[in-house]
Amino acid sequence: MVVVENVSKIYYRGREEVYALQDISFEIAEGEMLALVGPSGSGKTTLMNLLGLLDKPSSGRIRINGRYADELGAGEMLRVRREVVGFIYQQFLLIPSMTALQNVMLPMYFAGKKETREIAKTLLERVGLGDRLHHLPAELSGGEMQRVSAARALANNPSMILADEPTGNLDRKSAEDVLRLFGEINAEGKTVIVVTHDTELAGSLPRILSLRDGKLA
Amino acid sequence: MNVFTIVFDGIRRRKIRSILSVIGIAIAAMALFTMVSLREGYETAMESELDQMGAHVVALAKGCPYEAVALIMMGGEVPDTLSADVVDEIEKIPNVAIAAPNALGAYEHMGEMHSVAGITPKEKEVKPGWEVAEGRFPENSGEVMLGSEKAAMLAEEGGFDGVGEQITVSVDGEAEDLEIVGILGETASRDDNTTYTTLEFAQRLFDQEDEVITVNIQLNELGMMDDTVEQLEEIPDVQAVTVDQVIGTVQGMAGTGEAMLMAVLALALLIGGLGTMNTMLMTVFERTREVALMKAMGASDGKIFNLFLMEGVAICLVGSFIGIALGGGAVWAGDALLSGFLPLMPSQTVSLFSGQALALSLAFPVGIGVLSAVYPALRASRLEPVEALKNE
Repeated sequence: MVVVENVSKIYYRGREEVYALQDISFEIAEGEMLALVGPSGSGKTTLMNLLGLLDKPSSGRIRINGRYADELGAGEMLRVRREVVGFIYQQFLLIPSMTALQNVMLPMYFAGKKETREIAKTLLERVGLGDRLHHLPAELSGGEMQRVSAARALANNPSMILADEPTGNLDRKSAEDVLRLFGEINAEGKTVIVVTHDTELAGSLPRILSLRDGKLA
Repeated sequence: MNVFTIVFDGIRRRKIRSILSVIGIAIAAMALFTMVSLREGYETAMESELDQMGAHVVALAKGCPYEAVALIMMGGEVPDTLSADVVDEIEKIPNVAIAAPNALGAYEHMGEMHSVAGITPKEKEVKPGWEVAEGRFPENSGEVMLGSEKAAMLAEEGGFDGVGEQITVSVDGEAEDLEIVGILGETASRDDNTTYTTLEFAQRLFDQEDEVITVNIQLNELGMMDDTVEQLEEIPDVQAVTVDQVIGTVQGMAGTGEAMLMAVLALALLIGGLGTMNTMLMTVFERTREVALMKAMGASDGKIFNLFLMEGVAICLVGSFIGIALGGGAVWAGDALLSGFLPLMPSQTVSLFSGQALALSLAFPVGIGVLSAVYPALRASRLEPVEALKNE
């Protein structure tokens, strides 16, 4: 359960205040799947960073699974970031010199987990890349890279997946595959939030949160 | 997956730059290992040589103290001689236990010059390491005893096969027949390279009648050395050089070169360190997004810091291993290396593989690695993921 309460985020451009987000409030129930849409500059990425605990709101509060983010200590913050949120990016952001398997193992290493190889292997098999374990990102197609990225986001078994324009760099067919994968992940009870400006994609999801000029439309 | 997977992944990705950094550190480590080892080897060899010398004080004619040290350590001809009467004067000093006079010169044999010392039976008492390996001490005119190396050389080049043989040598153009009556056991000092004869015969051979060049003196009481030196120098024309002075002079001569080498070494280490720092900083800049990504995955600041620190340390560690291996080669060739620029070389080898050098050559480069990686690692760990992960 994610609760956003009157959150604003202000950036400073010189002395000028720029509202990336302005007093927004909403809730996302556990296991929900939704699209966060809006034109560029509407505050989508800012909101995603706040939900992923990579950034702090200028005012307002965010509650994740019953805990207010601003009450978490540095160590807890890291733990929540590891165990509650999994990120997927438009440019995949895989480490180019590491194999698919190693890329998926990485978040587990940071979480101090053991037996990471078996888990990573299972995850890659699950996203349909059982035969690509030892390939480097450069040897994979865009759709495959995004599936590695999804496997990586799932590595620490988070309750929420945050995907920032996950299909932006993919062809139609790969995009559909990735969305189908998201559907499966959601079906297992994980919350999936897809940030996109693709209205068609957004229309296929059960719920749409629309941002415009930092406000919910 | 462990920390090394990630560290070596980082190093592997910029091979050339990593190799250059490793070379920089390796050169510094090599210089450090070689210098510290050879310095220790040189001192050990010199000290053992001086131990072999046996004498606590050497009396000789007044002159340049450096020449005196060179004479004591290396042999060689000195124009100034002491009157043989001086030996009696020296023996009158209460603290003097033994005074063994030497006449020194050289003869030519088979196209080479060989240094000769005229000695008395007292010489054996001054030199505790002496053991006659074959035959006996020279007792009569024309009899010689060879140092062990001299004997080996003669056996190899001149077909010499044992005590009792005669050789014909030339002194100032005049032929002289000598009988080899003994061979001195190995002493690991310059004595191995000297030919010994009786004092009287050497005095006649080298036109030093009633004269001596040096007097090797052993004292009863080492604590009174300063007083004894004072008493010795009250004898006209006598200069007294103590073993400590010899050591000091030798170290002084080596020290000038050493100070310069140390400066070069410090520079090499600094440059190596800066090279590593540069590599690490560039790595951090290049991997900004990657670091941000790792942080978004939940990597703690400490873990990021460690990864980059270990990368720097790994480069320096590999560099210092290579440097020590190369330095080992330089130490092995140490005698040839040092004789090029040191005025005095011990007759023993200076090639000593010092544990201290090994420890320093590991500790210093790794220390520098840590220092040069701290700032880049700190930068990496303080990176703000939001900024770095923005969609461009």
